[in-house]
Amino acid sequence: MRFVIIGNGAAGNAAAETIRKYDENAEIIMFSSEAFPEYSACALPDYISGWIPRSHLFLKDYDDYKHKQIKIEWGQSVTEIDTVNKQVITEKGMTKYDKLIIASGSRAFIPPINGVNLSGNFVIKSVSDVDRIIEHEPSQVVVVGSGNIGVEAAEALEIRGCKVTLIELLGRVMPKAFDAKASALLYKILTNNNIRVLTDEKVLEVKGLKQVEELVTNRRNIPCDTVIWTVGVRQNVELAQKSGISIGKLGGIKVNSRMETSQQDIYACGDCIESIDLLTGQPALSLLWPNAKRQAQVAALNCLGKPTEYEGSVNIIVEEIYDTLCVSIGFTEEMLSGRDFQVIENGNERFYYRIVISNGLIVGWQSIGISNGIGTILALIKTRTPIAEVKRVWQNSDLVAKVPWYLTAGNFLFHEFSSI
Amino acid sequence: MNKRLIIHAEKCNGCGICELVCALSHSKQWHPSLSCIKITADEERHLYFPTVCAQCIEPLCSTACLMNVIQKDVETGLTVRDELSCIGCRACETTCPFSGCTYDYIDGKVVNCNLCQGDPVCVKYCPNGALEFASIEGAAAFKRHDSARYRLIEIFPEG
Repeated sequence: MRFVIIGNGAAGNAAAETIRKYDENAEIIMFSSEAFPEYSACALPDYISGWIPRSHLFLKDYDDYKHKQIKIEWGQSVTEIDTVNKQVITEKGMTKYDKLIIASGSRAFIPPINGVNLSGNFVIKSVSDVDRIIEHEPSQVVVVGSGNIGVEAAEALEIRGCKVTLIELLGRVMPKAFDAKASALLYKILTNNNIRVLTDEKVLEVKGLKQVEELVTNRRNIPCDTVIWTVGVRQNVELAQKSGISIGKLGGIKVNSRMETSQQDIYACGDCIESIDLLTGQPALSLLWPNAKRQAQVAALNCLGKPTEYEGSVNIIVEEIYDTLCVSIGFTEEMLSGRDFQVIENGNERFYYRIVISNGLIVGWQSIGISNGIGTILALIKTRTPIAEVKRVWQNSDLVAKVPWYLTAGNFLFHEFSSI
Repeated sequence: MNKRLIIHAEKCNGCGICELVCALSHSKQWHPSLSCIKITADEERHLYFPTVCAQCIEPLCSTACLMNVIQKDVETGLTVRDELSCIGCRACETTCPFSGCTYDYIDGKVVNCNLCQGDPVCVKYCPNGALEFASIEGAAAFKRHDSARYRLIEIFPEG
């Protein structure tokens, strides 16, 4: 049985490893558009900051593929999927497949405004992006977009010694992860560390003769030599779409709970797909490393004839910013506006949390400065354990002795937050 | 190795000696926050429960890991980390339902219980008999542990 995998990222590799784990003899062929062995894109900011050396980014070396008997074609983009003859086509030729797994990922987006083609504009998606940034010797940097990558990039560059301005279009930092209070605490952490944070501000253009010299917003001009665009990604679905594979309403490749696409024997996983939100059962985009790995595992198991259902994705953001752990899980209050919800919140400047509740279930968590007990809250969210049930156990000393992790969760939910 | 830590929570009085000797043993620090075993406490009700890595068969931490450094050891069946490759992102710590791993803020890495290479110090020093290191086959306490854990990870039936 020949398994062909398009992509060499988190999903592509998780799929290959799962197949190899269960089938020693399966023929596995991967197509990688880049020439790097597998690396962690999540660790790129840690390299920018100098916390880790470049070599640490790589999760495999070239030999590892050989040792696992994975044949990998480097620097080859698949240009067409011939679903009739079951083969993929690259500039080098055709490769037949029995099962195909599309793990083509996503690419960073730069808005089409004036000046983005000047030297000094960068994204952070690939090792080659970061190599270019470092070669450029950034000094006065503007980071556009305060999602998790933007905030990490801002911190990394500040630690590297740059003067950093972080610009956010919406009204607060990390608006999709944090409601106002948590976001305000994060804002303080960033500004206390000499990052200038501008919210409610829109970038209009980048100016310069041959390279970046200035960034213009709707409020001011910012002299700079580097612009890092962290405003979002676009999913790599063009190949699938061209091949007649259905694309979902949100723009990702549509898959069922077994990661099957609309084409027989073709699966998809990772950033390129539209998944189902675990809590709502609705289509969702949740482009995160752990989701990619789990989806790939499910796709691979189904390819191997072991029927497995994907439980759905949950948004989990974990950021360590200037030694403070900032976590967001599930839904923010803002995402639930218009529906019935409650919020339990507690803490102070150093330790703050809020729990978002809907229909008696925990649907969201945000915290700044807390590390213990979040996993239990996540588990309660995923298993849809009613708060009433948590309370029933928590209140009863004999019961809670049997499920002691409910004690920490109960303390967050029902207890005055007295000591850390 | 088919022996695991079995926790008899009803015997725990929260003295915290297990935390101290664990931290001392692997971090050389007399500091409970560096311990792999943690006491969850409710001081008002005098409830104390040790929690430690459950050595899950399909560990959630492994999927969450942003550097893919967490695997199951084929021989011992334990959840092991390649500590040199860990970058301390703490995604695993945030994901574990059982507070099973600990952020070592000195080394900037996350660690979990490795049963001290077969001779756990916490078991040796617990004065109350709340910790036992025993074979999991047939152990009723372990079966209770397992079914308790399933409440938190029931959507991963292999776990």
